Amino acid sequence: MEVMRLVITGPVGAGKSTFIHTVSEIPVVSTDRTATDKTAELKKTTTVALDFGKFTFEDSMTLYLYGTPGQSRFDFMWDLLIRRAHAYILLVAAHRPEAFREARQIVTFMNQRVNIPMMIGVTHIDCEGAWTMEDVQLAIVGTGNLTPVIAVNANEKASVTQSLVALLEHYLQSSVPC
Amino acid sequence: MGIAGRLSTFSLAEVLQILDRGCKTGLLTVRVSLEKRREQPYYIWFRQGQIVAAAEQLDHKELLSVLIRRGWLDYDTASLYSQVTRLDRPLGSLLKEEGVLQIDHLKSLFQAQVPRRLGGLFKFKDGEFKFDSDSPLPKLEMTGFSMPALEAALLGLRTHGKTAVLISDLPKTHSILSQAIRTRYSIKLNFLEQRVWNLANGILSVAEIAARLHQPMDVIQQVSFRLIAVGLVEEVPIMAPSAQTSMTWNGTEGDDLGGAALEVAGLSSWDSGESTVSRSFLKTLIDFLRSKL
Repeated sequence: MEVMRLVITGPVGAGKSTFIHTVSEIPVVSTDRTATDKTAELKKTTTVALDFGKFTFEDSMTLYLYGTPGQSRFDFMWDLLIRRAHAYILLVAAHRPEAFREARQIVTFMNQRVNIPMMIGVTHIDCEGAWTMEDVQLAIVGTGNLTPVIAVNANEKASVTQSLVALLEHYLQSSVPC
Repeated sequence: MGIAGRLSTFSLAEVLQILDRGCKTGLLTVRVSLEKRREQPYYIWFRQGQIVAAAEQLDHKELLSVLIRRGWLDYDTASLYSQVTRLDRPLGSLLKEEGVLQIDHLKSLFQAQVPRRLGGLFKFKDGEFKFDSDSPLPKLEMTGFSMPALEAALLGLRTHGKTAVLISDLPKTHSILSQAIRTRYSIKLNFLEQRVWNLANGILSVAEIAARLHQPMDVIQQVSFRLIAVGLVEEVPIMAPSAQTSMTWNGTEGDDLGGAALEVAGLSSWDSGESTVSRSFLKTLIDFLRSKL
């Protein structure tokens, strides 16, 4: 079976879980992890969620979608996901500039580990106080960067599907597999 | 809709960084709260990412007032200029051409108007900001000088960084610093900033850089903060120590990462050596997704 793995990442509240829920053909698997390390000593239960969805489009072809843990610290789960991903989408809520710094940190974290195609999906563009897509891109990756940026409504299947097509086309151009 | 927010969550240095890198033209309004609920607006105009003027009012009379106060222009002449509705060049440039002002006058005016005033804004930890790209440039407030927004940010942080920056905002001593991979800018760094930038190689931590440079830790943290704030250096996020974990999925608990959840999510069988998918796979997938639109 040939499998492609995409990671959906972004700051808390950007719409990662909704994105996967909207497009997955199976009920989304959410895993809860209870830490028993030093973090757990401070906080009795530290729970993070990893969302997993998929769809199969030929007998032997499957697309897996993974949503990164919904917490700000980077842990082994992030590492596990990103090191094996083929590409990723960074979801950013346009109306929450306070989350842009976290989004930048995610990009830095990813860039330190992998060199795979990525795309910025800008959500909540119709909300009050939303920045334009161009300005969100400036805030996250600066200028002179060829990272594609697309508006995404994580609640709408067509919008999510369109963003996946855009990422795959970007992957096709970037990776040129034969 | 555009660049707007609060300084408490999106710093002035970050705002200036975006306006500089985006080569923005327009008006940045910053409103800060003073004592007794008094609010003070600051207006800063940009042309192609360069700061060209700053004022505390929008009446376009501040520069003329300063010229009168300094005795470089009499009141009647200033009044005539204030009535000109459309100048085709900055007032400072015009007065220089007419022999009223010399280049040193203009430098002094710009210094007081922009770097000094903007530097003061870095003292405020909160306030509202909003950028308007449709606002015309105020020729009557312009000296003809300009400075890159990033340079203004660096100057402001040098002057007020110690008091304005919270200790919690400083990079941690164990944080690794890395030169930003984005486009380089020709910002004038001071000696210590340049040395820290040179050592930000993605391997050394803030503490190690401080040791190499024989500088106190807090000094290097401040310098690092400045370089991060203007986008020259990145603080590489550190991965949290791996936890002994148990996982649950749909109520089933697993002892380790080889549990049921990971099995279902295809995580346990991942082959880390696999890197690409075939072109035919991608084309089939794209066609499949398009058929759903």
